[in-house]
Amino acid sequence: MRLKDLQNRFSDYIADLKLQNSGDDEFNGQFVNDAIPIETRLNIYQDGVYSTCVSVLMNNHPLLKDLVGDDFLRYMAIEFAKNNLPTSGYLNEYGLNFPDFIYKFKPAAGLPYLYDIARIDRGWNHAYHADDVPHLDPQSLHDVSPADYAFLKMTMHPSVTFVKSDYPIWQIYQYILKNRGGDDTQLRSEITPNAAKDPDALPEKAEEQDNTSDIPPPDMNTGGENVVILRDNLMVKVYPLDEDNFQFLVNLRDKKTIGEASGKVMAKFPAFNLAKTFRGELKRNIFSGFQLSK
Amino acid sequence: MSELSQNIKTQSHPAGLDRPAGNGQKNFDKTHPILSSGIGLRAEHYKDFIDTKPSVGWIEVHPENYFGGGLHRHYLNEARKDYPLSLHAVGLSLGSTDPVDEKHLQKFKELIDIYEPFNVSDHASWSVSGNAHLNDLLPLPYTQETLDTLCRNIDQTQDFFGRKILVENPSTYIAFAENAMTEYELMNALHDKTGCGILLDINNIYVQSVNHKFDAWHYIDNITVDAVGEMHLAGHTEKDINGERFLIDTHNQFVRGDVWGLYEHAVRRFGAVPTCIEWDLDLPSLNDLMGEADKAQSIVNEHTDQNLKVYNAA
Ligand SMILES: [Fe+2]
Repeated sequence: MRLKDLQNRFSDYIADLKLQNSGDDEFNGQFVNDAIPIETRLNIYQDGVYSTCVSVLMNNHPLLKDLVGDDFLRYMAIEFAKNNLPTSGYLNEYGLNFPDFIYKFKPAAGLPYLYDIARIDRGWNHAYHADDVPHLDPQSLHDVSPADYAFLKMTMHPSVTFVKSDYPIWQIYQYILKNRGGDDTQLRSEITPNAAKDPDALPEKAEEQDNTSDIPPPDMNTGGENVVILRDNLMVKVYPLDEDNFQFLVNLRDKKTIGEASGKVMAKFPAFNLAKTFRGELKRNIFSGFQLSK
Repeated sequence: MSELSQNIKTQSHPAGLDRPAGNGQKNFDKTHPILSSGIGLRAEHYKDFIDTKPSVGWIEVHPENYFGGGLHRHYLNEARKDYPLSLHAVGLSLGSTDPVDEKHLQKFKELIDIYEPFNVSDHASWSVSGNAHLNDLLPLPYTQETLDTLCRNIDQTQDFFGRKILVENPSTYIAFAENAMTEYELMNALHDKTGCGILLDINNIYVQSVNHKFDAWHYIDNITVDAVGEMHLAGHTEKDINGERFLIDTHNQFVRGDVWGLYEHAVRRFGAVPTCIEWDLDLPSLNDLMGEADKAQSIVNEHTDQNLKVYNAA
C-alpha cells in the first residue's frame, strides 16, 4: 500500500470511534500479526489521540470544570471530540468551537449560561497565549490635536475578547473564584502528545453523566452581564463591562472612530461619559495602537 | 485628549522580551552545554527552576508551547539567560506524505532566531493526513518510500532553518509487515542522506524492543556513533495484554532500571552526549527530576572522558 493511502486509512481508523473493527483484510494485512491483536495495538493510538483532545479541553476550561465538575466536563469533551478531531497542529487552538457545541448539547440544556462561561474560558486561554504586542502608551496620544480626537481609530490588543451574555456571567465568574478560595493561579500547563496518555481520559470510559453540580449559581433573574478578557502585560484579567461601555468598545473594535462609537452609544445611553470611559480603558491596557482617520 | 490621559503612567513593554539582535550578535551567552544532563522544563516547574537555578547542563522545551507570548515566553526568557536550550518539536510531522507546513516552520524559526538553541529536533513519525492533525506520534513502515518521504521533509526543514536538525526514534505499538529495513538502518540512512543528527531515545528503543521483541542492545550497537547528537530518557508504563508484557511510553514516572542499564551501554558507545530527562505527566518535584538528571550525569562521569559531544548544526 502506498504511504499516502496507508496514512489515510490509519487516520480514518483512528477518527472513527464507532467502527473500531473497521480494518478490512487489506488494511490489517499491513501489520505484523502476533499474540497481541492488531485492533488492540491500533486502539492504543486511538486512545492517545482522543485522550489528548480531552486533556486539552479539560485544561482549557477550568471555569466549566468548577461549575459542572470533572466527570460532566469530561463527558462533554469526549462527545465533542468524537466529531471534532484537531485540524491544526497548534493544540492551544483546539476546541475553538467547543462553546458552540455546548450551546446545543442537550444534557447541558438546564445550565444555559455554560455556553457563556465556556467563552470566558476560551477568551482567557486566547489572552494567555496571545502574541507579545506592546500596550498603547497613553503618552503617545499627547501628540494628537484635540480637534482630531473624534477621528481616532483604536487598535485592540490581540489578547482582547468580549463576551456578551443574557445571564449574570460576571457574578457567576466571581462566584467560581470565591469557591476556589481565591486561588487565581495564572500558570497553565502544557499539553503535548506525550503528556496525554491519561488512562482516565480514554473514550471507553465515557458514560452518560448526570450533571450533579452542587454549586448553587447566583440569581439568574438579575439580567445579562458582559465581560472583557485581556492580558495586561503578563497577567490575564477579566473585567465586567456595563452595556454602554461594552457597546463603545465593540464599536471601536469594529474600526469605528471614537466619534462614531461614542455617538452611537450616546444615542442609547445619554449619560455615557466618554472621557471617564476612555481613560479607564487606557489604564486597563486594552489598546495597542491608534490611527488618525480623516 | 491630554486631559483623558492625565495621571496615566507610561506602561512598559511586556517584561523580559529579548529580540534577535541582528548583525550576528548573540541574544544569550550560554550557547552550548558543559554538563551532559538536561531536563525537559515544564510550566509547573518554571518558578521553582528560576528561583533555585539547579545544577543541570541545559533545558529542553516543546516549541509548540511557545508559539504565542505571555507567561510561557517570559519564563523561557528567564531560564534561557542561565541555561543552554534544546527545542524539541512534536508537530512537524516529518513522516507525512504532504510537505511540512510552512506556517509551523515559520513560527518555529522565529523561536530559533530568538532563543538560539544548540539542538533543534522532531520525530521520525507522522501526525498529519489531509486535514486531520492526529496529535500523536504515529508509526511508519520502514520502506524506501518512507525513507524518501522523511528525507524530503527533513531537507525542507533544514533548508528553511538554515541548520541541521536531529530526528528522534519514536515509541511504537504496532509493527508493519512490509518493513524493508530495521529502524536503526532507517535512522542511519536519514543521517547519511540529509546530514541530520539522531536524537536517540533510549526509553523508546527499550519500549519497542519489548513490544516488537528485538534486542535493544543490538539496536544501539548498530547506530552510527557520530550521528548521535542527543539522547532521551523517560519513564514508561508496563501492561499485560493477553499474557504478553507490553510497554507504553507515558513519560509519567522514574526511568526504569532496565533503561538505565541500556543508557550505560549507550554512553559507553556514544560518549558524553547531551541527555534529557523527559517527564510530561504526573510531574514530580523539581528535586526528584534533578535526581534523575544527576543519575544520568554520574553514568556519563563514570564511563566517558566527559568531553561533551554536541552535534554540529552548521
Ligand atoms: Fe523522547
